[in-house]
Parts: sequence; structure tokens; C-alpha cells
Amino acid sequence: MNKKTVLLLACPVMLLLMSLKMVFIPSQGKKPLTDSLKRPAKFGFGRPATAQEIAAWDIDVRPDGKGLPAGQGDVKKGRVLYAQKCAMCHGVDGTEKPGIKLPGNALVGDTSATSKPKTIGNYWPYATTLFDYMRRAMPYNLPGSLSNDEVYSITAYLLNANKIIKADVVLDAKNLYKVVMPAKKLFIMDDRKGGPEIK
Amino acid sequence: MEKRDNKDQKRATGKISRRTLLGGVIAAAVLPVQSLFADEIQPKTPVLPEITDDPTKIVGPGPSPLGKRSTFEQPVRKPSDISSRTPLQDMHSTITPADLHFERHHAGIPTIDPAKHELLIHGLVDNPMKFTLADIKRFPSVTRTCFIECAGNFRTGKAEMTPQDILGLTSQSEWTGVMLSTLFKEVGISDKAKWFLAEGSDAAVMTRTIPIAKAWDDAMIVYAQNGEAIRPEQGYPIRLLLPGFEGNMNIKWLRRIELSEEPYMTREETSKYTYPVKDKIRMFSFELDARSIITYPSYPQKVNKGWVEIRGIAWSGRGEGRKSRSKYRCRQNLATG
Repeated sequence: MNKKTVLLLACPVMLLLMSLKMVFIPSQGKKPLTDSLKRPAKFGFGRPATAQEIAAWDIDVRPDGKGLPAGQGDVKKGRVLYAQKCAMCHGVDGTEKPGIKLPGNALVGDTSATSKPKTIGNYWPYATTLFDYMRRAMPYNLPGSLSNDEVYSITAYLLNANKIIKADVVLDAKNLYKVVMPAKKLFIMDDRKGGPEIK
Repeated sequence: MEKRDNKDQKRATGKISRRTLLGGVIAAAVLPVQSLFADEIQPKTPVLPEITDDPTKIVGPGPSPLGKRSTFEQPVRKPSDISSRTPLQDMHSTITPADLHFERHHAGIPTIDPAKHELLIHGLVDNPMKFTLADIKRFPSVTRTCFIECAGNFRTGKAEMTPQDILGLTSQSEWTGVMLSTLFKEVGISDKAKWFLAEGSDAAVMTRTIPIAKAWDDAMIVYAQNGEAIRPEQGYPIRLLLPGFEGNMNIKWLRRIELSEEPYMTREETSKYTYPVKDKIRMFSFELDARSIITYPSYPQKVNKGWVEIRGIAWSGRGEGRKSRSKYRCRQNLATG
């Protein structure tokens, strides 16, 4: 390559570089340092979710009963299911099983006690939470494997074992959320507005 | 002896090795020996490079596809059954390397194909929508340095405790993702919505309810940590990031957000992350307070007489939660005594 060729090739590159430099010189005005790009109201990414897609994932249950599925369960069936699926970690009678670190918290306790152990009877403010949590995460070795009827039954058994409902109660979407838990009265929302108190 | 081991080798691999066929006598001699000592030569700890008094006389290894720490430096997390603690005493700045970021999970780390992962936003919205990971990455991104602290991050009781034992459930990263408010504008949020449920796609299908103000304030959905994709144990491919809020609420492996008028009272916000106060139990205490710890000198380090630099980290809490962790450093003369 001779000198002439190099110069010819270099010229456009130099011009391009100079023009870029012009672009990057900051304006001397007193414009605020903000994003100069205007945002659209919507970007248009994503797609509408279908009713079936929502139904497949929407498993949560609220304290007012919204989300409770069809089905029912009773204490008697729940006792059998508990022995089959829960006792391994939580102990035969729902009290904590010594030596098992995971995840066997005590489930049955003295409902009049307000201190440890934190059981369903003395620490859970809503019965719906029991259904929701069991359906999504239990049993630990086979999460999500319980049918709605099975979850209703085990919920009934545990509420009865904690002396919250009677042995003949059949739980379903119409009555589970009406169960008043003993610990409900203990719970308060955090209403602090700053200040010196630490958490 | 050699013959028998050679047989074992063939049985173990289920076929005759190519080298055995090609190498003949040499292979026959080498393979059994490898087989014989296989257990003993498998290193249980990383083998240190050849140590020499004069490294200028030995050519080192060349470039590699993936970097690794000096074998002389071996910071490690300290795992329990449910969490794994960051070695604060081994950190030199406020950024935690991603592989040392503390872990806490409720049913293990899910394996998620990023090509199939989607986020559903529904409930009190104008348009329920699903976003793929690719969609989320197309939105304007924001990068922020934030720490995450587990609400249970303090242990005490013994003199022989390292900073890792005491406060190892906090770590800090540079996170990149999209502001949650950007996605909320995309779906259109009803005025009635006061809370949102965040749900993970792990085996615990972890859930927490979060006040909607946090979404408009500074909540993010992040997909990158310290410049690379989030690590699986930190929520790959996406997690919620709620600066200053207790770690448990920063839902990992996020797949669903539902807007509602009322909180859902999930197990995590009723029977777990609640706090006794006098004769009541306080729930929905989101913000964590300021804290600090001296990381050097600390147990079991030893100091010499003379000037000693005291190092530590401090992080702001409630009210100032948006400020990232800072590091303090001062010098103290421990010369006499």
C-alpha cells in the first residue's frame, strides 16, 4: 500500500471521528442532567395473559376466602393423611420431633400459650394461611402433590388437634375462612411512623 | 495385578478405551496404574500451584476461559441446613462477589430454563400480562448497588464467633434490572390496588405481600448481579429487589405478581417474619435498621504490636435504606499493653 492509498483510506475515517466528537460535545446550556429520551406511555413488550394461564398459577388464598377452591375435607380423613404424609417430619402427634431440623416445626400446641412454641394454635392468625401454605409447599419431599380435598382434610385435622374446631366439622370454601384463630387478637400491623424506636 | 486392574477398567467404562487399542503396551501399563491410584490422586482440596522461591524462573499457565481465585485465597460461605453465610471478614470493599453472596432458601434452588421463564402480572390491573425474560430485558434498565439482609441476621452468645457467624446474612451487589413501576405502567394499575403479592417458582412457591407504595418508589425486578446473570441461588433468572426491606421479601425465581386491596397473610408474613412487641405480635415490619460490624481485627485473627488498621462495614437502615452500605476504616495504635 502506498502513501496515497493510506491517506485516501484514512480521510473518511478521520472525518467520521471528527463528526462523532462533535456529537459528544456536551451542550453549554443549563439543561438538567436527565434522560433526554422521551418514554412512551407503553413500550408494547409482553403479551396478554389468557384466563387459563392465570387460573393455572393463581393458587393464593386470602383471609376473606377469595381463592379457596371447590372440595371438602374432614378431621377423620385428615388424621389418616397426617400420619401418612406429615408425621415423618412433624411427629406423630404434631408436636416437634426431636432430632429433625428440617422442616418439622411443631404444629399442635397449647392455644392459650402466647409464647413458644409457635404453633398453629397459638401463633397462626388466619386459617386460610394453613390451606394456602400446605397446598403450595407441603409435604416437603413432594410439594404440590396434595389434592384440594386432602388439603381441606389435613387442615381440619390440625385445627381440631389444636382445639379450634370440633371433630365433626367438614371444611370447604364456604366455612374455612370463617374459622377464628386464637392468635388473631395478638396480631397488629406495624403502625410506627419513624422515631427512635428500633425494630 | 495389572491384568486384573485392566479388566476392572474395561468393566467400569463399559468399552475398551481407544488408547488401550492404540497405545498397546504403554497404555496397558499406564491405565491400570491410573485406575489403581484413582482414589488417592483425586484432590479433595485444590492443589496449590508449584511454589517456588523465585516465580520469575517458572512460566505460569496461560489465559483461561473462566477466572478463578488465587489458590492462596479461599473465602467460603458457611452453610447451615437453610442458609449460607457470607465471609464478611474476607471482604475488602462493600461489594460481595456473587458466589459469596449469602443464601437463604425454603425448598432448595430450582433449575429454571431462562427461555421458558415468564412473569405474570394480574389481579387489579387493566391488562393482565405475561412477560418473557427477553421482554423484561428490553425495558429501560437501571443499575443500583444495594445490600440485602436477612431479617434474622444476628447471632450472638459465644466469644468464639467470626463476623461471618455474627452478621453473615447480609451481602451487597450491583444489581441490574427494570423498575417495577415501569412494568406496572405497562399493565395499568387500578386505583383500588394497595398491595401486591410476589410469588417465586421454587418448590416452596414462596410468597410475600408488599405495599404498593414500594413498587412506585424503588422496587426492581433484577436479572443481573455484579455485571453477570444472577446466580441460581440468588434467583436466576429474575428476582424482586426491595431496597432496605427484609431479605425474605425479595422473592427469588419470581414468576407471578398479583395486585389486590388486602394483604394475603401468607405463612411468611404471619407465622414466620413477625415480631413480639409487649403482649402483641407485630406484622409487616419491612424495614431493617442500621448496623455495623468490625471485620478486622476479629476472632480468630491475631494482631501484632504497632499500628493496626481497624476495618469494618456499616449499613444504614430504616429511613435511609436507599443508601448503600459503606465501609469505615480507621487506625488505632495498639502498641502498648
